[in-house]
This record gives sequence, C-alpha cells and structure tokens, in this order.
Amino acid sequence: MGRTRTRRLAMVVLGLALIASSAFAGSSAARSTAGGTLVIGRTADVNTLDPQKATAFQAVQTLGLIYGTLVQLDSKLSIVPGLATSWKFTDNSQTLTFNLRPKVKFQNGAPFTSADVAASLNRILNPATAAVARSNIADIQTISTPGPLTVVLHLADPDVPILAALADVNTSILSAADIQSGSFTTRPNGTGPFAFSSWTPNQSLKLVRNATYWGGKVPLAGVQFRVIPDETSVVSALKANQIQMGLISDPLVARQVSGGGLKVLRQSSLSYHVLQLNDRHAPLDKQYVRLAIQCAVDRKQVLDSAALGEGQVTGPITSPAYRSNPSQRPCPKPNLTKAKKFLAAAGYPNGGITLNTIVETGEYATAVAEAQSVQAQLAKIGITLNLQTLDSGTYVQRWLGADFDAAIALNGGRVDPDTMYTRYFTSTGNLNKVAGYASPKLDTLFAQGRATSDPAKRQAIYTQISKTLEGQGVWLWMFTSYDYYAISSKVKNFVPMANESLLYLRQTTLG
Amino acid sequence: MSAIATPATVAAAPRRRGWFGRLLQSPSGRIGLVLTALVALAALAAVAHLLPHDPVEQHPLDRLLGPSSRYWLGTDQFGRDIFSRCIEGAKSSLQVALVAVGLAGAVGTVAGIAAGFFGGVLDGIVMRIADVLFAFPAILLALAIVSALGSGWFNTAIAIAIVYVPIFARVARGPVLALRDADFIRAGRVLGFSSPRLLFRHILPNVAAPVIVQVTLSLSWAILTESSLSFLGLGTQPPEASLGLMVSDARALAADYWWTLAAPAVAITLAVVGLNLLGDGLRDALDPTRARD
Amino acid sequence: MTEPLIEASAQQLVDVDAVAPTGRLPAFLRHWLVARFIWSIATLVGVSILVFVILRVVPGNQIDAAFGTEAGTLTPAQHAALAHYYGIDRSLWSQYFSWIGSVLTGNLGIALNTHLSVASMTRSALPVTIELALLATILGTLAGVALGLLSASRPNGVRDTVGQSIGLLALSVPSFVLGTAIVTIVAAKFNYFPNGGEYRAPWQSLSENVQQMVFPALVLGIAVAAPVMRTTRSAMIEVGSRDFVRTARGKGLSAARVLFRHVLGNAAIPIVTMVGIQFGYLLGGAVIVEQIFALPGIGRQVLQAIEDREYAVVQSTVLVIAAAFVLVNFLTDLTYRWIDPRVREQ
Repeated sequence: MGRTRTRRLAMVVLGLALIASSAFAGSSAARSTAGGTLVIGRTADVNTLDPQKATAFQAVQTLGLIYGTLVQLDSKLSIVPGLATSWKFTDNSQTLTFNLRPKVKFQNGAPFTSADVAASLNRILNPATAAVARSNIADIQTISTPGPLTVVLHLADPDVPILAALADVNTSILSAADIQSGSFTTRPNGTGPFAFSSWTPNQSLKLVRNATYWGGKVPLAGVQFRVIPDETSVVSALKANQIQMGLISDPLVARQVSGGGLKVLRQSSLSYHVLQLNDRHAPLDKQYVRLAIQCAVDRKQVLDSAALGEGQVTGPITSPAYRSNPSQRPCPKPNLTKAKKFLAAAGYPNGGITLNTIVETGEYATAVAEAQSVQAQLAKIGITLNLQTLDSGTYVQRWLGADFDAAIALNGGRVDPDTMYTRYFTSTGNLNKVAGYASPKLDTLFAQGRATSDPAKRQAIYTQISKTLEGQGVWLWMFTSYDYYAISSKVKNFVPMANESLLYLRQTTLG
Repeated sequence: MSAIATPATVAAAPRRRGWFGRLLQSPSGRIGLVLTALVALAALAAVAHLLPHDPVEQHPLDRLLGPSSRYWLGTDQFGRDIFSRCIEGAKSSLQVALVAVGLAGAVGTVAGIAAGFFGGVLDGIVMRIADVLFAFPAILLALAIVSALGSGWFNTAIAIAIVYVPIFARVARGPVLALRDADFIRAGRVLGFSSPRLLFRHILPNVAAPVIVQVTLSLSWAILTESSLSFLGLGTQPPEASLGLMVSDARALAADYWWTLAAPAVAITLAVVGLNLLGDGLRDALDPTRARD
Repeated sequence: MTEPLIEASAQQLVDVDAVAPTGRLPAFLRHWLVARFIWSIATLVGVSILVFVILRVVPGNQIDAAFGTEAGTLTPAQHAALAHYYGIDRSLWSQYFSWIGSVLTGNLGIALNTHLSVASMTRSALPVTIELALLATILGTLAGVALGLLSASRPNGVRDTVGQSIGLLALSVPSFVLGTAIVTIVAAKFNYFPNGGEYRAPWQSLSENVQQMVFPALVLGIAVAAPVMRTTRSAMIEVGSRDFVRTARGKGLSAARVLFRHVLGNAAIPIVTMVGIQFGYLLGGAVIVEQIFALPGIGRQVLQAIEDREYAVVQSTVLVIAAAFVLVNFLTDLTYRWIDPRVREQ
C-alpha cells in the first residue's frame, strides 16, 4: 500500500490563494454549522503545518485552504488577484509593485498589512528557514513597504515568472507576529477560506469556514480530511457514505466508483511521465541516438499498457496556457525505419547500445510497467534498457547524482514553464547535472522568457523552447496522467485543478 | 547433514523404522511432504522457465479474463497470466525463505551451541542479544531492516534472517545446556576429549533434531513474512511476481474479479500448510518421546 | 508474521523454564523480581541502540524524505540549515545520548515536521492498538482453548482431526490475506466500511467502536487462536497422561472435576504463557491489520514515521512498544508463577 500512497508530487502544486478579510474568524465560524461539513478521504496525512516548507501534496492541499498568497490561480491556472488586487512590473521587469487588498484579516482577527508580506517573503529568503520556494524567488534583493497596503520587490534580474511563484502555497503569507512567535507550526493562522480547527494525526484534520473570508461567504461550514491508507478503502468509505469526496490516483480504483449517486471528476495533472536521458553519457551525447529513441517509442502504447490509457500523450510543457503540441515533435508517430536511419547516422547501424535505466518503485504505481513497455519497444532497434528497479531513497540518491544513463521518472509540473524547466535546462540550473543537457540557445531563450511580460510573446518563446527540447531529443516526454476526485452527488460546484489544489472548495456546496 | 540419520544417539530410542519411515506413517507428515514437494516442483518449473506463460509478459487484449483453458487461473489487469505469476511468486517466496532460514539457522545454531556449551559471559551476551531481538516487534524489525538495506529479495531474506536468528539460538542452546552436564559428556571431559570432539561427536547430533524441525517451521513463517512485506510494498519488487504483491494488487480488483485475489491467497496458504504439516510430522518423527501421541 | 515468533518463543520459554530451577520461596521471588527488572532495563537499552543504529543505516535522511528529488534544488547553505534543524549534523553519540537523556526525563521528543510531541501521538494511537490486541487476544483465547480441549478430548480421533485442521488453517492463512478478503467482500460488495479514518473510543460511541473493531479483531483473533489451540491440545494431552491425574481418576473423581481441577489447572501454565506472548506481540505486530482496516494504531505510527524518516518518532515509539512487550511478558511470568501449583502450594 506504500506504493501509491506517498506520491510525492512535491512542487507540482502551485496556486491556491485565498485570503481573509475583516472581523473574527475561528471562533465565530466554528459555531455556525449551516452548510454542512464535507468529509474528504485521502491515503496519507499532512506531514507539516508550515506552508512555506510543505512538499507532500496532502500538506500543500490542506494549507492552501488555510493560507493566502499575493496572487492566485483560477481553474485554468491563469494568475488572478489574491491578497494583492493589482501589480505592475516596471524598470525593465526588475521592479514589481503590489497593491494589497484592504480590510483583510487573519483568522485570529489581526489585520493583514504589507509588514506581513515582507516578513513572510524574508522568512523564505532566509537560508536558515530552508523554505522550498527560496530558489524561485531568489531574485528578490530588497523588499520595501512604502505604505501599509503597498509592497515593492526589487529584483536582481528581470524575472517575470516570479509572479507565478508568488501564487504557490509555498509562498503563503503568514502573519508577522506568528513568524515572531513560531505559533503557526502548530496553530495555522492564514487568510484563506477555511480556518484550522483541530488535527488528530493519522486520523483526521478539521477545518471550519472562515466567516470573514475576503472572497465572500463560504457555503460549507467546514471541511474534514480523513486518512484512509488504501485507495480501495477510500472508495468503500465513499460508498458507505462515511466520506463525500475521495482523492484517488489509481485509475483501476477510480473505475470501481459507479452507481449509488457517485461520480468521478477526472483532472489532467501537471506532472509528466518521462524517460530522462543523461545526454552527457556516451552514446546519448549523439543527437541522432537520442532522435532514434524518440522515433522508436510509441508513447500511446506506453500509456495504454502501463496506465490503461488513462492519461494524455504530452510534450515538455504541461501547463494549460503553454502546453506543448505533441504533434510537432520529430516523430509524432513511431517510425522504426526512421529510427534505424538515425541510429545508422550516429554510427550504430545494428544498435548494440545498452542504457542503464533507473526505475523507482514505491512512489507511483506505473513506473515499472512504463519501463517494461519502453524496454520492449527500444529492443526493436537494438537498444537495450538495463532496468534497475530501486526503492525511493536509493532512486533519489542516484537521480540527484545523475548516476544513470536513463531514468523513468514522474516529474512535477509547474504553472510557469520557466519555473518548471529553468532549473533543469539552463547551464546554471541547480538540476542541470540531473537533466544532462544545456545549450547556449536554451540559455538565451530562457533568459528572454524571464524578461518578457507580454503573454503572447512569452508563449512564442516557450513554444520555441519546447521545439528545441524535442528537436534535440533531450528527453523522451511520454504522458500526463489524471487525478481522480470521486464525489457523492450531493457535492456541487467543486472544480478540480491541474495543480491538485482544492481551492474551489470555497464555492462548493453540500446539498 | 549426516547427523539427521543418527538421531538415535539421543538415547536408546526404539528404532524399528528410521525417522523417514515414521514421517511417512503419520498423516500430517505424508500430506505435508506431498504439498511441499508440489511447491518445490512448481518452483523448479519456474526456475527452468517451464511455465505456460511468461509471468511478466503483458497481453493487453486479454486483461482480467476469468480462468480458462488458455489462462488456467485467469489474467490480471495487465493481461498477465495469474497461474504463471503464482508459480513464479511461490518460487521467489521459497527462495527468500530458504536463504533467510539457511542464514538464520546457520548463525543462530552456531551461536546457540556456543552459548550453551561454553556458558558464562558468551552465553550471557548471546542470550541478551536474543532477548533484545525478541522484544523488538518482529514485523517492525523486519520492516526497518528492509528499509535500511533497501528492498529486493536478498535484502528481504537478510531481514527475515536477522529476525529469526534468536529463535535458532534458543532452540540449539536448550539441548546443549541439558547435555553439557550429562554423565557421558562429563566422562568425555574426564577422559580428556577435546571440546571440538565433544561438540561434533556428541552434542551436534542431539541438537540436529530440534533444529531441523525448527527449519521446517521457520520456512513456513518466512514465507508468511516475505509475503507480508511484499504486501506492504517492501519485499520483492515488481515486475518480479510475488504472492504478497499480487494480493495487494488484487485489492482494487477482487470485488469484480475474484480470481485475482483467490489465486495468490490459496497459493500462499497451500505452501504454508504444507510446510507446517511437514514440520509437525518431522517433529513427531524425530522426537521419539512425542511420537507416542 | 506475528504467528511464527510467538510459537517459537513460547516453546522456548517453556524449555528454558524447564531447565531453570523453579521458584520456592518468597526470597527467591524477590530475587527473581530484581533480576527480572534489571533484565528488562538491559533489554530496553539494547532495543534503543538497535533501533537507533538501524535508522542511521536507512539510506536517505529527513531532508531527502521531506523533499524527495526536490532536495537537489536546495543550496548548500539551506542543506546545512536543515541538517542542523533535524539534528543530523551532530555526532551519532551526541544524537543517541541526547535522545536517551530526554526519554529518561519523560520527554519522548517531537516530530520535527509536524511539531507534534511523540507523547501526544502515542497517547492517541496506543489505546487503539491496546483495544485491538485485547479483543483479539480474548477472541483468540476463547476459540483456541475451546478448540484445543475439543481436540485433546479424543487424541487422534475425528474431533481431533477437525480441530487440528482448523488450527492448521488458522495458522497458515496470513492476516493480510484474510483482512484483504474481508475488506473486499464486506466493504466493496456490501458498501459497509465502518473505518472511515476516525477512531471512536468505546466511551465515545460503543456501537461505532464495536463496528470498527470487530473485523480487525476477528482477523487477529484467528491468528492468536491457532497457537493457543496447539498449546492447549498438547498441554492437555501431556498433563492428562501424568500420574497424579491417573490417581485422581482412580480415586473415582468425576471426569469434569478431574478435567477442570487437575488437568486444566496444570495445563493452564503453558496456555497462559502463550496467551501473554501473543498479546505482547500484537502490540507491535498488528501493523498490517491496522493498515488494512484504517485503524490509527501504534504500528501505523511507526510505519509512517519510518517513511518520513522521523527518527525521534520511530525510536521513541518502538521503545514504548518494547517496554509494553517487556511489561506484558513480566506480568505473564508473574501470573504463571501464581497459578503454578508447585509455587502456590508452598
């Protein structure tokens, strides 16, 4: 059961932003039970209550309901106002000014001001905090607060994607007083639609409606998360009406949900299944060898055999606004003749290539089946995948050390393609060693993307990046899978998001 | 292992028939022997690749088929043949169990004999270590060790072996302790026989019977442990077939496709029943005082 | 996998005690108590060292566990800060002694990610496991003793064969298979799943508590019943053939009186030993059943903590389980000495 449980979609999650306004939250909200409490079953518990350090997606999901961010994402993952009502890049995208929402209050009643924003961002920037979002906002040199409702970020370099980074739960705004006292680690206090009520580890975590949420009245009286360690049991609990929503990742389990007034919402995920190639290891340093791999593998077949067809074939960029078009890749359909020609051009007319391929077991269900499918297909052109199935700890160590020729991986996606791939494919990216590929052309393109704030122009730049990555055959991008939200028919107005955020619980009703 | 043949050295036990004859005489011994032989044969077939289908090969068009003449026990969600996977799984379980019990038996028996024979500080140390291992919750101990070593069949075997070492130490120590002060050993000492000679000629044969019984019973427990760890995702890793993993996978399927759960469940149970019966039979056959009931 | 050790250790306990001199005098009992206490402490110290060492050998640390592949995005300064926070930058000696030191002062430590104290986690998880283990032990003992008496009433007869076969089956079907089958059939087919993730204590809601506990207790109870049955059967047969029983029968005492007064009284010693050991093992060994039935017990607390590399939680929880095990063993031995007629009659 450990196999699907801890799907660590660490940084997949962006977004969620909620904010509070005026009056008292916790106590008054706790008394009102009109609207009902939605009980949600999931396979693992939160592992921290610190939003800036949360990596496991259960924690990010939960804390995203409690805390707010400066900007937030809507269901299409577009950036919309959050705790800031408006913002502006000036000075060649090196200065970013936010106007904050007035009359917002934290759930303990304290007013929200620019001092809270400065304290929160400074906490992330302090290396001693070891906050996960630090590298995403590291361009911030100084933070000034000319007024209680104005925050100015002075950036070292042009950095447009920082805006998306500020929509991440990991850049949640805490109250400056809480940061001082450290109380938030056991008693979360944010500006989001739901306030923390109680937590019994490994059993349940309870939230109550934030009666003073700035985004209007929250219909649900509360949300309760229950831990049911096995997805099949989550479905059973749903059928027994113990819970009204179940979070599921295994398509086989999702298929069991039927009848009895139950339905399943399917949401394409941002994270992507990929065969990473270490392009600094011979013979993968030859572009033609990499292209041969691209042309030999039928991604649809991998998806069908490993994940029962539950997913979509994808290119590098998975965020809806910038999504890569898989039909523009070198071999949109598998072509063995072409693959063999590429191999011959690379000097391997008969194949004879062996790639040490690491595969992780335990974190997600499909890894081994994907590896086997790719292995079978590459065997046809004389490329042997030597599969090494590793437990999570060992896999992570090998992966971080770039100690592999190829790696079957499920990597987290990001809303902004810059945040998603700069760390991999720029020569100074902190995961470039793992990515195994960099080029001056990509460096230039990524720098342009960071300095461009016009959406259409940005889109053009990332389309080009996407084409370059696939034209070079850098990695073998395969598919994205779905997340499933099994709900009882009583649950209305819930909208799932690609980043697994549950933010739309703020408008959900239980009828 | 010639010691097996001479359990009669224990005392002047009646030996109209050898231990094997006595084993065959008891129903539990007979059934256990047959079942165990069947499991062993199946495992050999898996080793020799004599299975109806490749246990890891996927047949995408034949997903979740019920038992038929083509797939004797049906197929799973990837269209893999469940019969072949059960046999393959039994093989990996047996492999883990044999290595684990072999290691635990060797280390534990030597430690137990040494502790019992030499006594004193050595005895104290060995038995305290055994106490510690006993007080550590067994499944959690195995779990922690597997996490420490990494999953995979050999590491699983080591983890199980560590858990079982103290059992063998205690099993071996008991009879040594009883014999150490027995007259014929004392006499041997007086006559100036060396310790090794006393150990090998007189003590080892008497330890052999309980150890052999323990080995058989431990094998069945090791299979249970291996499948439990695999069930938790910590034992044998996919794509290798493993009975525990098959049960775990079947959870999402069994409500609609019963054979996905029934097949591995019955396979584990049969293997364990066989070894338990064989263990019981051996215990009666090797221990003349118990054979009477 | 609880079953195996249990039987072995029970056999061995009996063997060991057969070798050891049996107690006669209060003075001996005093000595025994003192020796037993020292032995318990030594064992727990051993357990603490063992769990500490195993955790340090586990590849990956709390940083890797918390960040996964994202650990690659941490700067060296962040890495150092985290290592300091988790206390893994200190020497092993210092880590061990500061942990043991705080345990001795009653502080079991805190989970560094969740900031929860291990004591509070344990307070909520331990009662669940204790209730489960108690119910399973009671069910298993009743069934096991009954079945054992049935078998022993006519050794090698039909009843014996039936009893032994049931016992064998109970011994051979793994708990996780039985648990999975029950969850699948009862929950998936009949949409009945009382374990929705939140434990209800008996005093909160007796009916909900019973519903949550009945299946897991049944599964574990069957595992307990098998060795109890086997022990009961062989003890009854063995005691029944002893001289004093024959004498009692010869004196014309009724069969029931002989059975309950003389035979069961003496056979109770190994049975009690076995039951005690079973109970002790269930405290740590129920983890799989807790997992299958979504019961937030102590085993799952350890399992989760191993996954999260929450060292303090694993170490202290295991120590608590081991202490409970040692205590149960001690009480078992005490009971055993109390009901042993040879001790009592002195």
